Amino acid sequence: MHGKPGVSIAPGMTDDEAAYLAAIVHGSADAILSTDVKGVIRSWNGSCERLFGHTAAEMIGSCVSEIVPPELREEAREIGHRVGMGESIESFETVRLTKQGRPIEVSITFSPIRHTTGAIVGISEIVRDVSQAKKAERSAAMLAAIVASSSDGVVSKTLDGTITSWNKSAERIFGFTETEMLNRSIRSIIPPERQPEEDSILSTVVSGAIIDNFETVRVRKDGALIDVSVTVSPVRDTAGRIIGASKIVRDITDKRQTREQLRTLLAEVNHRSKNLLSLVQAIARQMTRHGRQLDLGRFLERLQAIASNQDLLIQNDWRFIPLGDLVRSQLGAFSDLIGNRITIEGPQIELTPEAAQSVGMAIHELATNAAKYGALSNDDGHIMICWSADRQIFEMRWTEESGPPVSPPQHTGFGSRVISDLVRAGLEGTVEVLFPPSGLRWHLSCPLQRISRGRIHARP
Amino acid sequence: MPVPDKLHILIVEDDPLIGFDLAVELEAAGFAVTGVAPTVDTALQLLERHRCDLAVLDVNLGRETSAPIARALVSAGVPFVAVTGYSVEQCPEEFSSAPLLAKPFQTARLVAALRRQLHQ
Repeated sequence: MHGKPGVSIAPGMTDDEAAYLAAIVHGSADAILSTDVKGVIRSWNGSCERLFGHTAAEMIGSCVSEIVPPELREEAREIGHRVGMGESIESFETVRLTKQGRPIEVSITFSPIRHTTGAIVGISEIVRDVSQAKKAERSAAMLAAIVASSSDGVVSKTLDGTITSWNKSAERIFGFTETEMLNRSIRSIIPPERQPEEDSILSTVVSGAIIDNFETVRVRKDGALIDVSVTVSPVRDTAGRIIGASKIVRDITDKRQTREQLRTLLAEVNHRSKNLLSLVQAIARQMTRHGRQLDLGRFLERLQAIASNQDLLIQNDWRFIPLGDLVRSQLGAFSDLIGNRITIEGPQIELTPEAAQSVGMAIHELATNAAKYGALSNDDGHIMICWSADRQIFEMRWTEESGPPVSPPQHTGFGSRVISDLVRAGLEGTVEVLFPPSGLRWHLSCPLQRISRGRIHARP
Repeated sequence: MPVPDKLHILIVEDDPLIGFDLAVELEAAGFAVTGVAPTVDTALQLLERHRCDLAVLDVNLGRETSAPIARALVSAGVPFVAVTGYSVEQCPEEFSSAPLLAKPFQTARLVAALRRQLHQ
Protein backbone atom coordinates (compact mmCIF):
# COMPACT_ATOMS: atom_id res chain seq x y z
CA MET A 1 0.00 0.00 0.00
CA HIS A 2 1.40 3.36 -1.01
CA GLY A 3 1.27 5.79 1.79
CA LYS A 4 2.66 6.33 5.23
CA PRO A 5 4.68 3.24 5.97
CA GLY A 6 4.48 1.53 9.25
CA VAL A 7 1.15 2.94 10.31
CA SER A 8 -0.56 0.19 12.26
CA ILE A 9 -4.16 0.80 12.89
CA ALA A 10 -4.96 -2.51 14.54
CA PRO A 11 -3.39 -3.23 17.97
CA GLY A 12 -0.95 -6.05 18.20
CA MET A 13 -0.55 -6.40 14.43
CA THR A 14 2.93 -7.31 13.38
CA ASP A 15 4.65 -5.62 10.50
CA ASP A 16 4.33 -8.88 8.54
CA GLU A 17 0.60 -9.03 9.06
CA ALA A 18 0.27 -5.40 8.12
CA ALA A 19 2.35 -5.96 5.02
CA TYR A 20 0.17 -8.96 4.13
CA LEU A 21 -3.05 -6.90 4.34
CA ALA A 22 -1.37 -4.13 2.37
CA ALA A 23 -0.52 -6.63 -0.37
CA ILE A 24 -4.16 -7.69 -0.59
CA VAL A 25 -5.25 -4.13 -1.21
CA HIS A 26 -2.37 -3.45 -3.57
CA GLY A 27 -3.03 -6.53 -5.70
CA SER A 28 -6.82 -6.29 -5.68
CA ALA A 29 -8.56 -6.11 -9.01
CA ASP A 30 -11.01 -3.65 -7.45
CA ALA A 31 -9.99 -0.01 -7.34
CA ILE A 32 -9.53 0.79 -3.66
CA LEU A 33 -8.73 4.27 -2.36
CA SER A 34 -8.95 5.95 0.98
CA THR A 35 -9.27 9.52 2.18
CA ASP A 36 -9.18 11.31 5.49
CA VAL A 37 -12.46 12.67 6.84
CA LYS A 38 -11.90 15.89 4.89
CA GLY A 39 -11.52 14.04 1.56
CA VAL A 40 -7.73 14.23 1.15
CA ILE A 41 -6.49 11.07 -0.54
CA ARG A 42 -4.28 8.90 1.67
CA SER A 43 -4.07 5.74 -0.46
CA TRP A 44 -4.53 4.82 -4.12
CA ASN A 45 -4.02 1.24 -5.31
CA GLY A 46 -2.85 -0.09 -8.67
CA SER A 47 -6.38 -0.66 -9.91
CA CYS A 48 -7.17 2.99 -9.15
CA GLU A 49 -4.29 3.95 -11.39
CA ARG A 50 -5.67 1.75 -14.16
CA LEU A 51 -9.26 2.91 -13.71
CA PHE A 52 -8.67 6.63 -13.34
CA GLY A 53 -5.35 7.16 -15.09
CA HIS A 54 -3.80 9.22 -12.23
CA THR A 55 -0.80 7.64 -10.51
CA ALA A 56 -0.66 7.27 -6.74
CA ALA A 57 2.06 9.94 -6.60
CA GLU A 58 -0.27 12.36 -8.38
CA MET A 59 -3.25 11.64 -6.16
CA ILE A 60 -1.95 11.15 -2.65
CA GLY A 61 -2.36 14.40 -0.83
CA SER A 62 -4.88 15.73 -3.38
CA CYS A 63 -8.58 16.13 -2.78
CA VAL A 64 -10.83 13.30 -3.89
CA SER A 65 -13.09 15.88 -5.57
CA GLU A 66 -10.64 15.82 -8.46
CA ILE A 67 -12.29 12.66 -9.70
CA VAL A 68 -15.80 13.89 -8.94
CA PRO A 69 -17.77 15.64 -11.72
CA PRO A 70 -18.63 19.22 -10.66
CA GLU A 71 -22.38 18.61 -10.54
CA LEU A 72 -21.90 15.66 -8.19
CA ARG A 73 -19.59 17.35 -5.67
CA GLU A 74 -22.40 18.26 -3.37
CA GLU A 75 -23.49 14.62 -3.36
CA ALA A 76 -19.91 13.47 -2.68
CA ARG A 77 -19.58 15.94 0.23
CA GLU A 78 -22.80 14.66 1.75
CA ILE A 79 -21.62 11.07 1.48
CA GLY A 80 -18.31 12.02 3.01
CA HIS A 81 -20.21 13.56 5.90
CA ARG A 82 -22.45 10.50 6.43
CA VAL A 83 -19.60 8.02 6.31
CA GLY A 84 -17.63 10.30 8.57
CA MET A 85 -20.45 9.83 11.08
CA GLY A 86 -20.03 6.06 10.89
CA GLU A 87 -22.42 5.01 8.09
CA SER A 88 -21.42 2.40 5.53
CA ILE A 89 -22.83 2.89 2.06
CA GLU A 90 -22.84 -0.11 -0.26
CA SER A 91 -22.92 -0.18 -4.03
CA PHE A 92 -23.70 3.47 -4.48
CA GLU A 93 -24.10 4.14 -8.19
CA THR A 94 -22.64 7.39 -9.35
CA VAL A 95 -20.21 8.88 -11.87
CA ARG A 96 -16.52 9.69 -11.55
CA LEU A 97 -13.99 11.27 -13.93
CA THR A 98 -10.80 9.83 -15.41
CA LYS A 99 -7.61 11.85 -15.77
CA GLN A 100 -8.79 12.73 -19.34
CA GLY A 101 -12.01 14.08 -17.92
CA ARG A 102 -14.07 11.20 -19.34
CA PRO A 103 -16.98 10.29 -17.08
CA ILE A 104 -17.34 6.65 -16.04
CA GLU A 105 -20.32 5.00 -14.41
CA VAL A 106 -19.23 3.42 -11.15
CA SER A 107 -20.59 1.63 -8.13
CA ILE A 108 -18.80 2.61 -4.88
CA THR A 109 -18.88 1.00 -1.47
CA PHE A 110 -17.90 3.53 1.23
CA SER A 111 -16.77 2.39 4.68
CA PRO A 112 -15.50 4.39 7.67
CA ILE A 113 -11.93 3.66 8.76
CA ARG A 114 -11.77 3.41 12.58
CA HIS A 115 -8.83 3.89 14.85
CA THR A 116 -8.46 1.41 17.67
CA THR A 117 -9.94 4.08 19.83
CA GLY A 118 -13.11 3.90 17.78
CA ALA A 119 -12.68 7.33 16.27
CA ILE A 120 -13.23 7.61 12.56
CA VAL A 121 -10.04 8.66 10.91
CA GLY A 122 -10.91 8.17 7.26
CA ILE A 123 -13.08 6.75 4.51
CA SER A 124 -12.32 3.78 2.28
CA GLU A 125 -13.87 3.54 -1.18
CA ILE A 126 -14.03 0.39 -3.25
CA VAL A 127 -14.85 1.55 -6.77
CA ARG A 128 -16.27 -0.73 -9.45
CA ASP A 129 -16.56 0.28 -13.09
CA VAL A 130 -20.14 -0.61 -14.04
CA SER A 131 -20.26 1.03 -17.48
CA GLN A 132 -20.53 -2.30 -19.30
CA ALA A 133 -23.18 -3.53 -16.93
CA LYS A 134 -25.04 -0.21 -17.27
CA LYS A 135 -24.85 -0.44 -21.03
CA ALA A 136 -26.28 -3.93 -20.95
CA GLU A 137 -28.96 -2.73 -18.55
CA ARG A 138 -29.92 0.15 -20.85
CA SER A 139 -29.94 -2.21 -23.82
CA ALA A 140 -32.20 -4.60 -21.99
CA ALA A 141 -34.46 -1.72 -20.90
CA MET A 142 -34.73 -0.54 -24.50
CA LEU A 143 -35.61 -3.99 -25.73
CA ALA A 144 -38.14 -4.32 -22.95
CA ALA A 145 -39.65 -1.00 -24.01
CA ILE A 146 -39.80 -2.19 -27.60
CA VAL A 147 -41.59 -5.36 -26.56
CA ALA A 148 -43.91 -3.45 -24.26
CA SER A 149 -44.88 -0.91 -26.91
CA SER A 150 -44.99 -3.31 -29.84
CA SER A 151 -48.37 -3.46 -31.49
CA ASP A 152 -47.79 -7.17 -32.08
CA GLY A 153 -48.31 -9.56 -29.22
CA VAL A 154 -44.96 -10.76 -27.87
CA VAL A 155 -45.04 -13.88 -25.75
CA SER A 156 -42.23 -16.01 -24.41
CA LYS A 157 -42.49 -19.54 -23.13
CA THR A 158 -40.36 -22.38 -21.84
CA LEU A 159 -39.84 -25.55 -23.85
CA ASP A 160 -42.82 -27.20 -22.21
CA GLY A 161 -45.07 -24.35 -23.30
CA THR A 162 -45.30 -22.49 -20.00
CA ILE A 163 -45.71 -18.77 -20.58
CA THR A 164 -42.94 -16.64 -19.13
CA SER A 165 -43.84 -13.27 -20.58
CA TRP A 166 -46.96 -11.67 -22.07
CA ASN A 167 -46.91 -8.10 -23.34
CA LYS A 168 -49.66 -5.45 -23.50
CA SER A 169 -50.52 -6.24 -27.09
CA ALA A 170 -50.89 -9.92 -26.27
CA GLU A 171 -53.40 -8.80 -23.62
CA ARG A 172 -55.23 -6.77 -26.23
CA ILE A 173 -55.24 -9.51 -28.87
CA PHE A 174 -56.21 -12.38 -26.60
CA GLY A 175 -58.12 -10.65 -23.83
CA PHE A 176 -56.07 -12.40 -21.12
CA THR A 177 -54.03 -10.20 -18.78
CA GLU A 178 -50.37 -10.84 -18.02
CA THR A 179 -51.27 -12.05 -14.55
CA GLU A 180 -53.75 -14.55 -15.96
CA MET A 181 -51.29 -15.97 -18.45
CA LEU A 182 -47.94 -16.12 -16.64
CA ASN A 183 -47.11 -19.70 -15.77
CA ARG A 184 -50.08 -21.03 -17.71
CA SER A 185 -49.62 -23.24 -20.72
CA ILE A 186 -49.66 -21.64 -24.18
CA ARG A 187 -52.07 -24.41 -25.14
CA SER A 188 -54.87 -22.50 -23.45
CA ILE A 189 -55.05 -20.16 -26.45
CA ILE A 190 -54.82 -22.94 -29.03
CA PRO A 191 -58.12 -24.41 -30.27
CA PRO A 192 -58.50 -28.16 -29.58
CA GLU A 193 -58.17 -29.26 -33.19
CA ARG A 194 -54.93 -27.29 -33.57
CA GLN A 195 -53.15 -28.60 -30.46
CA PRO A 196 -50.78 -30.73 -32.63
CA GLU A 197 -49.46 -27.43 -34.04
CA GLU A 198 -47.84 -26.62 -30.71
CA ASP A 199 -45.95 -29.90 -30.81
CA SER A 200 -44.55 -29.21 -34.25
CA ILE A 201 -43.76 -25.59 -33.31
CA LEU A 202 -41.79 -26.77 -30.28
CA SER A 203 -39.89 -29.40 -32.21
CA THR A 204 -38.98 -26.84 -34.90
CA VAL A 205 -37.76 -24.40 -32.25
CA VAL A 206 -35.79 -27.03 -30.40
CA SER A 207 -33.92 -27.79 -33.61
CA GLY A 208 -32.90 -24.13 -33.66
CA ALA A 209 -35.03 -23.09 -36.62
CA ILE A 210 -37.35 -20.10 -36.82
CA ILE A 211 -41.01 -20.30 -37.82
CA ASP A 212 -41.80 -17.29 -39.94
CA ASN A 213 -45.32 -15.86 -40.40
CA PHE A 214 -47.20 -19.05 -39.86
CA GLU A 215 -50.91 -18.30 -40.40
CA THR A 216 -53.23 -20.09 -38.06
CA VAL A 217 -56.16 -19.68 -35.66
CA ARG A 218 -56.10 -18.99 -31.94
CA VAL A 219 -58.71 -18.57 -29.21
CA ARG A 220 -59.49 -15.39 -27.28
CA LYS A 221 -60.54 -15.28 -23.65
CA ASP A 222 -64.17 -14.84 -24.75
CA GLY A 223 -63.94 -18.04 -26.81
CA ALA A 224 -63.91 -16.26 -30.17
CA LEU A 225 -61.55 -17.60 -32.82
CA ILE A 226 -59.11 -15.16 -34.39
CA ASP A 227 -56.93 -15.42 -37.48
CA VAL A 228 -53.30 -14.78 -36.55
CA SER A 229 -49.84 -14.84 -38.03
CA VAL A 230 -47.17 -16.25 -35.71
CA THR A 231 -43.37 -15.95 -35.82
CA VAL A 232 -41.50 -18.14 -33.35
CA SER A 233 -37.79 -17.98 -32.51
CA PRO A 234 -35.68 -19.99 -30.08
CA VAL A 235 -34.43 -18.27 -26.92
CA ARG A 236 -30.95 -19.29 -25.80
CA ASP A 237 -29.09 -18.97 -22.53
CA THR A 238 -25.55 -17.59 -22.33
CA ALA A 239 -24.19 -21.04 -23.05
CA GLY A 240 -26.16 -21.15 -26.29
CA ARG A 241 -28.59 -23.82 -25.15
CA ILE A 242 -32.21 -23.40 -26.23
CA ILE A 243 -34.26 -22.77 -23.12
CA GLY A 244 -37.52 -21.54 -24.58
CA ALA A 245 -39.18 -19.72 -27.43
CA SER A 246 -40.44 -16.24 -28.15
CA LYS A 247 -43.57 -15.76 -30.23
CA ILE A 248 -44.70 -12.70 -32.10
CA VAL A 249 -48.42 -12.84 -32.75
CA ARG A 250 -50.23 -10.60 -35.19
CA ASP A 251 -53.99 -10.40 -35.55
CA ILE A 252 -54.62 -10.81 -39.28
CA THR A 253 -58.43 -10.84 -39.22
CA ASP A 254 -58.54 -7.64 -41.29
CA LYS A 255 -55.96 -8.87 -43.74
CA ARG A 256 -57.85 -12.12 -44.24
CA GLN A 257 -61.14 -10.29 -44.74
CA THR A 258 -59.54 -8.03 -47.32
CA ARG A 259 -58.11 -11.04 -49.13
CA GLU A 260 -61.53 -12.68 -49.26
CA GLN A 261 -63.17 -9.52 -50.48
CA LEU A 262 -60.58 -9.33 -53.24
CA ARG A 263 -61.18 -12.94 -54.17
CA THR A 264 -64.91 -12.31 -54.36
CA LEU A 265 -64.35 -9.18 -56.39
CA LEU A 266 -62.06 -10.95 -58.86
CA ALA A 267 -64.55 -13.78 -59.27
CA GLU A 268 -67.17 -11.15 -59.98
CA VAL A 269 -64.95 -9.44 -62.56
CA ASN A 270 -64.34 -12.81 -64.19
CA HIS A 271 -68.06 -13.53 -64.26
CA ARG A 272 -68.92 -10.19 -65.80
CA SER A 273 -66.19 -10.53 -68.42
CA LYS A 274 -67.46 -13.96 -69.40
CA ASN A 275 -70.97 -12.56 -69.68
CA LEU A 276 -69.82 -9.76 -71.93
CA LEU A 277 -68.03 -12.25 -74.16
CA SER A 278 -71.20 -14.30 -74.33
CA LEU A 279 -73.05 -11.15 -75.29
CA VAL A 280 -70.64 -10.40 -78.12
CA GLN A 281 -70.96 -14.00 -79.27
CA ALA A 282 -74.74 -13.70 -79.19
CA ILE A 283 -74.76 -10.53 -81.29
CA ALA A 284 -72.34 -11.92 -83.86
CA ARG A 285 -74.25 -15.14 -84.06
CA GLN A 286 -77.66 -13.52 -84.40
CA MET A 287 -76.39 -11.08 -87.02
CA THR A 288 -75.13 -13.91 -89.21
CA ARG A 289 -78.09 -16.26 -89.08
CA HIS A 290 -79.32 -17.79 -92.28
CA GLY A 291 -75.94 -17.45 -93.87
CA ARG A 292 -75.83 -13.64 -93.67
CA GLN A 293 -72.47 -11.95 -93.93
CA LEU A 294 -71.38 -10.03 -90.89
CA ASP A 295 -71.94 -6.30 -91.39
CA LEU A 296 -68.85 -5.27 -89.49
CA GLY A 297 -69.88 -1.62 -89.17
CA ARG A 298 -73.22 -2.52 -87.58
CA PHE A 299 -71.56 -5.13 -85.41
CA LEU A 300 -69.13 -2.59 -84.02
CA GLU A 301 -71.91 -0.04 -83.52
CA ARG A 302 -73.85 -2.58 -81.50
CA LEU A 303 -70.78 -3.36 -79.40
CA GLN A 304 -70.43 0.37 -78.80
CA ALA A 305 -74.04 0.49 -77.66
CA ILE A 306 -73.27 -2.24 -75.13
CA ALA A 307 -70.17 -0.36 -74.01
CA SER A 308 -72.18 2.83 -73.46
CA ASN A 309 -74.57 0.85 -71.31
CA GLN A 310 -71.64 -0.42 -69.28
CA ASP A 311 -70.41 3.12 -68.68
CA LEU A 312 -73.80 4.17 -67.36
CA LEU A 313 -73.97 1.09 -65.16
CA ILE A 314 -70.56 1.77 -63.69
CA GLN A 315 -71.47 5.40 -63.00
CA ASN A 316 -74.29 4.07 -60.88
CA ASP A 317 -72.25 1.42 -59.05
CA TRP A 318 -73.59 -1.33 -61.24
CA ARG A 319 -76.95 -1.05 -59.56
CA PHE A 320 -79.23 0.66 -62.07
CA ILE A 321 -79.37 3.02 -65.04
CA PRO A 322 -81.70 6.05 -65.09
CA LEU A 323 -83.94 5.76 -68.13
CA GLY A 324 -83.41 9.36 -69.25
CA ASP A 325 -79.63 8.89 -69.24
CA LEU A 326 -80.01 5.61 -71.12
CA VAL A 327 -82.08 7.16 -73.90
CA ARG A 328 -79.70 10.10 -74.29
CA SER A 329 -76.70 7.78 -74.34
CA GLN A 330 -78.15 5.42 -76.95
CA LEU A 331 -79.19 8.29 -79.21
CA GLY A 332 -75.48 8.90 -79.52
CA ALA A 333 -74.66 11.70 -81.91
CA PHE A 334 -78.36 12.40 -82.33
CA SER A 335 -78.64 13.50 -78.73
CA ASP A 336 -77.75 16.97 -80.08
CA LEU A 337 -81.19 17.02 -81.61
CA ILE A 338 -82.95 16.63 -78.28
CA GLY A 339 -85.26 19.55 -77.66
CA ASN A 340 -85.32 20.20 -81.37
CA ARG A 341 -86.08 17.25 -83.63
CA ILE A 342 -86.20 14.79 -80.81
CA THR A 343 -88.45 15.19 -77.79
CA ILE A 344 -87.99 13.22 -74.63
CA GLU A 345 -90.61 13.10 -71.91
CA GLY A 346 -91.09 10.91 -68.90
CA PRO A 347 -90.37 10.52 -65.19
CA GLN A 348 -86.92 9.45 -64.04
CA ILE A 349 -87.01 5.67 -63.62
CA GLU A 350 -84.10 3.56 -62.46
CA LEU A 351 -83.79 0.53 -64.72
CA THR A 352 -82.30 -2.78 -63.62
CA PRO A 353 -79.12 -3.70 -65.52
CA GLU A 354 -80.98 -6.43 -67.44
CA ALA A 355 -83.90 -4.16 -68.40
CA ALA A 356 -81.41 -1.45 -69.37
CA GLN A 357 -79.75 -3.83 -71.77
CA SER A 358 -83.01 -4.69 -73.57
CA VAL A 359 -84.34 -1.15 -73.67
CA GLY A 360 -80.92 0.32 -74.49
CA MET A 361 -80.41 -1.98 -77.43
CA ALA A 362 -83.93 -1.29 -78.65
CA ILE A 363 -83.33 2.48 -78.54
CA HIS A 364 -80.05 1.99 -80.37
CA GLU A 365 -81.76 -0.02 -83.12
CA LEU A 366 -84.64 2.43 -83.40
CA ALA A 367 -82.23 5.36 -83.66
CA THR A 368 -80.05 3.62 -86.25
CA ASN A 369 -83.13 2.72 -88.24
CA ALA A 370 -84.46 6.29 -88.02
CA ALA A 371 -81.16 7.61 -89.32
CA LYS A 372 -81.10 5.22 -92.25
CA TYR A 373 -84.74 5.14 -93.32
CA GLY A 374 -86.84 7.10 -90.87
CA ALA A 375 -87.39 10.49 -89.30
CA LEU A 376 -83.69 11.31 -88.99
CA SER A 377 -82.86 10.50 -92.59
CA ASN A 378 -84.30 13.77 -93.93
CA ASP A 379 -84.25 17.36 -92.68
CA ASP A 380 -87.78 17.60 -91.28
CA GLY A 381 -88.42 14.39 -89.47
CA HIS A 382 -89.24 14.41 -85.77
CA ILE A 383 -89.15 11.75 -83.06
CA MET A 384 -91.15 11.72 -79.83
CA ILE A 385 -89.85 9.45 -77.10
CA CYS A 386 -92.04 9.24 -74.01
CA TRP A 387 -92.74 6.90 -71.18
CA SER A 388 -94.88 6.60 -68.07
CA ALA A 389 -95.25 4.47 -64.99
CA ASP A 390 -98.82 4.34 -63.71
CA ARG A 391 -100.35 1.72 -61.47
CA GLN A 392 -97.40 -0.64 -61.78
CA ILE A 393 -97.46 -0.66 -65.58
CA PHE A 394 -94.60 0.77 -67.59
CA GLU A 395 -95.33 2.17 -71.03
CA MET A 396 -92.87 3.56 -73.54
CA ARG A 397 -93.41 4.94 -76.99
CA TRP A 398 -91.18 5.89 -79.91
CA THR A 399 -93.15 7.84 -82.50
CA GLU A 400 -91.68 9.14 -85.76
CA GLU A 401 -93.23 11.83 -87.94
CA SER A 402 -92.51 13.82 -91.06
CA GLY A 403 -89.87 11.44 -92.20
CA PRO A 404 -89.88 9.83 -95.63
CA PRO A 405 -92.85 7.52 -96.21
CA VAL A 406 -92.35 4.15 -94.56
CA SER A 407 -93.56 0.62 -95.11
CA PRO A 408 -93.09 -2.56 -93.11
CA PRO A 409 -89.61 -4.09 -93.62
CA GLN A 410 -89.24 -7.10 -95.88
CA HIS A 411 -87.21 -9.34 -93.64
CA THR A 412 -86.59 -9.50 -89.97
CA GLY A 413 -82.96 -8.80 -89.38
CA PHE A 414 -81.27 -8.75 -86.00
CA GLY A 415 -82.41 -5.17 -85.44
CA SER A 416 -86.09 -5.90 -85.82
CA ARG A 417 -85.79 -8.92 -83.56
CA VAL A 418 -84.12 -6.77 -80.91
CA ILE A 419 -86.88 -4.15 -80.79
CA SER A 420 -89.61 -6.78 -80.65
CA ASP A 421 -88.78 -10.32 -79.56
CA LEU A 422 -85.86 -9.46 -77.31
CA VAL A 423 -87.68 -6.71 -75.46
CA ARG A 424 -90.86 -8.76 -75.23
CA ALA A 425 -89.07 -11.79 -73.82
CA GLY A 426 -86.76 -9.87 -71.51
CA LEU A 427 -89.46 -7.72 -69.93
CA GLU A 428 -92.43 -10.13 -70.15
CA GLY A 429 -94.46 -7.45 -71.79
CA THR A 430 -96.06 -6.60 -75.10
CA VAL A 431 -94.38 -4.80 -77.95
CA GLU A 432 -96.16 -3.33 -80.89
CA VAL A 433 -94.25 -2.14 -83.95
CA LEU A 434 -96.34 -0.33 -86.52
CA PHE A 435 -95.44 1.22 -89.86
CA PRO A 436 -98.16 3.71 -90.72
CA PRO A 437 -97.18 6.02 -93.62
CA SER A 438 -96.51 8.88 -91.18
CA GLY A 439 -93.68 7.03 -89.59
CA LEU A 440 -92.62 4.11 -87.40
CA ARG A 441 -94.40 3.64 -84.08
CA TRP A 442 -92.97 1.49 -81.36
CA HIS A 443 -94.90 0.81 -78.18
CA LEU A 444 -93.73 -1.21 -75.21
CA SER A 445 -95.88 -2.15 -72.24
CA CYS A 446 -94.73 -4.30 -69.34
CA PRO A 447 -95.07 -4.75 -65.57
CA LEU A 448 -93.15 -2.00 -63.78
CA GLN A 449 -91.39 -4.47 -61.54
CA ARG A 450 -89.80 -6.18 -64.58
CA ILE A 451 -88.07 -2.97 -65.48
CA SER A 452 -87.26 -1.27 -62.24
CA ARG A 453 -86.64 -2.04 -58.59
CA GLY A 454 -86.04 1.52 -57.64
CA ARG A 455 -87.72 4.82 -57.03
CA ILE A 456 -89.46 6.89 -59.62
CA HIS A 457 -88.99 10.64 -59.67
CA ALA A 458 -91.29 13.08 -61.41
CA ARG A 459 -88.37 15.05 -62.87
CA PRO A 460 -87.12 13.40 -66.10
CA MET B 1 -96.44 -38.39 -91.74
CA PRO B 2 -95.96 -38.18 -87.99
CA VAL B 3 -93.71 -35.35 -86.97
CA PRO B 4 -91.10 -36.53 -84.48
CA ASP B 5 -91.86 -35.05 -81.11
CA LYS B 6 -89.54 -32.18 -80.27
CA LEU B 7 -87.88 -32.08 -76.89
CA HIS B 8 -89.07 -29.16 -74.81
CA ILE B 9 -86.29 -27.26 -73.15
CA LEU B 10 -86.40 -24.62 -70.42
CA ILE B 11 -83.75 -21.90 -70.55
CA VAL B 12 -82.86 -20.16 -67.31
CA GLU B 13 -80.74 -17.06 -67.99
CA ASP B 14 -80.98 -13.54 -66.60
CA ASP B 15 -79.18 -11.72 -69.42
CA PRO B 16 -81.91 -11.02 -72.00
CA LEU B 17 -79.75 -11.08 -75.11
CA ILE B 18 -77.82 -14.19 -74.09
CA GLY B 19 -81.12 -15.92 -73.26
CA PHE B 20 -82.60 -14.78 -76.55
CA ASP B 21 -79.58 -15.99 -78.49
CA LEU B 22 -79.68 -19.34 -76.70
CA ALA B 23 -83.40 -19.75 -77.51
CA VAL B 24 -82.78 -19.06 -81.18
CA GLU B 25 -79.83 -21.43 -81.25
CA LEU B 26 -81.66 -24.27 -79.52
CA GLU B 27 -84.66 -23.86 -81.76
CA ALA B 28 -82.36 -24.09 -84.74
CA ALA B 29 -80.92 -27.25 -83.19
CA GLY B 30 -84.37 -28.83 -83.18
CA PHE B 31 -85.63 -28.14 -79.65
CA ALA B 32 -88.90 -26.52 -78.69
CA VAL B 33 -88.17 -23.75 -76.19
CA THR B 34 -90.58 -23.77 -73.24
CA GLY B 35 -89.37 -20.32 -72.30
CA VAL B 36 -86.50 -18.15 -71.16
CA ALA B 37 -86.80 -17.57 -67.39
CA PRO B 38 -84.70 -14.79 -65.87
CA THR B 39 -85.61 -15.55 -62.24
CA VAL B 40 -86.13 -18.53 -59.95
CA ASP B 41 -89.84 -17.70 -59.59
CA THR B 42 -90.48 -17.51 -63.33
CA ALA B 43 -88.54 -20.72 -63.91
CA LEU B 44 -90.45 -22.63 -61.24
CA GLN B 45 -93.73 -21.38 -62.68
CA LEU B 46 -92.81 -22.48 -66.19
CA LEU B 47 -91.66 -25.83 -64.84
CA GLU B 48 -94.96 -26.33 -63.10
CA ARG B 49 -97.24 -25.29 -65.96
CA HIS B 50 -95.48 -26.49 -69.09
CA ARG B 51 -93.82 -29.53 -70.51
CA CYS B 52 -90.18 -29.57 -69.74
CA ASP B 53 -87.92 -32.43 -70.89
CA LEU B 54 -84.58 -30.73 -70.43
CA ALA B 55 -83.13 -27.54 -69.01
CA VAL B 56 -80.17 -25.21 -69.36
CA LEU B 57 -79.39 -23.31 -66.17
CA ASP B 58 -77.25 -20.25 -65.75
CA VAL B 59 -75.89 -20.74 -62.25
CA ASN B 60 -75.96 -17.05 -61.37
CA LEU B 61 -79.08 -15.01 -61.89
CA GLY B 62 -78.04 -11.58 -60.70
CA ARG B 63 -79.23 -11.45 -57.09
CA GLU B 64 -79.84 -15.16 -56.69
CA THR B 65 -78.44 -18.49 -57.86
CA SER B 66 -80.54 -21.01 -59.77
CA ALA B 67 -79.87 -23.65 -57.08
CA PRO B 68 -83.58 -23.89 -56.13
CA ILE B 69 -84.37 -24.62 -59.77
CA ALA B 70 -81.69 -27.30 -59.87
CA ARG B 71 -83.26 -28.91 -56.81
CA ALA B 72 -86.72 -28.81 -58.40
CA LEU B 73 -85.39 -30.31 -61.63
CA VAL B 74 -83.70 -33.14 -59.73
CA SER B 75 -86.93 -33.92 -57.87
CA ALA B 76 -88.89 -33.83 -61.11
CA GLY B 77 -86.32 -36.08 -62.77
CA VAL B 78 -85.56 -33.50 -65.47
CA PRO B 79 -81.96 -33.68 -66.71
CA PHE B 80 -80.13 -30.38 -67.05
CA VAL B 81 -76.82 -28.76 -67.96
CA ALA B 82 -75.44 -25.83 -65.99
CA VAL B 83 -73.58 -22.90 -67.49
CA THR B 84 -71.57 -20.27 -65.67
CA GLY B 85 -69.15 -17.38 -65.93
CA TYR B 86 -67.65 -18.32 -62.57
CA SER B 87 -65.19 -21.12 -61.95
CA VAL B 88 -66.36 -24.61 -61.00
CA GLU B 89 -65.41 -24.30 -57.30
CA GLN B 90 -67.60 -21.26 -56.95
CA CYS B 91 -70.87 -23.03 -57.83
CA PRO B 92 -73.34 -24.19 -55.13
CA GLU B 93 -73.37 -27.88 -54.36
CA GLU B 94 -76.71 -28.44 -56.11
CA PHE B 95 -74.69 -28.30 -59.31
CA SER B 96 -72.03 -30.78 -58.31
CA SER B 97 -73.54 -33.67 -60.22
CA ALA B 98 -74.60 -31.82 -63.37
CA PRO B 99 -72.25 -31.12 -66.26
CA LEU B 100 -70.99 -27.53 -66.09
CA LEU B 101 -70.15 -25.48 -69.17
CA ALA B 102 -68.06 -22.34 -69.04
CA LYS B 103 -69.39 -19.24 -70.78
CA PRO B 104 -69.10 -18.48 -73.62
CA PHE B 105 -69.70 -21.90 -75.16
CA GLN B 106 -70.44 -23.28 -78.59
CA THR B 107 -74.02 -24.37 -79.12
CA ALA B 108 -72.84 -27.74 -80.41
CA ARG B 109 -71.14 -28.45 -77.07
CA LEU B 110 -74.27 -27.54 -75.17
CA VAL B 111 -76.46 -29.72 -77.37
CA ALA B 112 -74.06 -32.65 -77.01
CA ALA B 113 -74.04 -32.27 -73.22
CA LEU B 114 -77.85 -32.06 -73.17
CA ARG B 115 -78.25 -35.23 -75.23
CA ARG B 116 -75.77 -37.06 -72.97
CA GLN B 117 -77.79 -36.05 -69.91
CA LEU B 118 -80.98 -37.23 -71.60
CA HIS B 119 -79.62 -40.67 -72.23
CA GLN B 120 -78.54 -41.26 -68.64
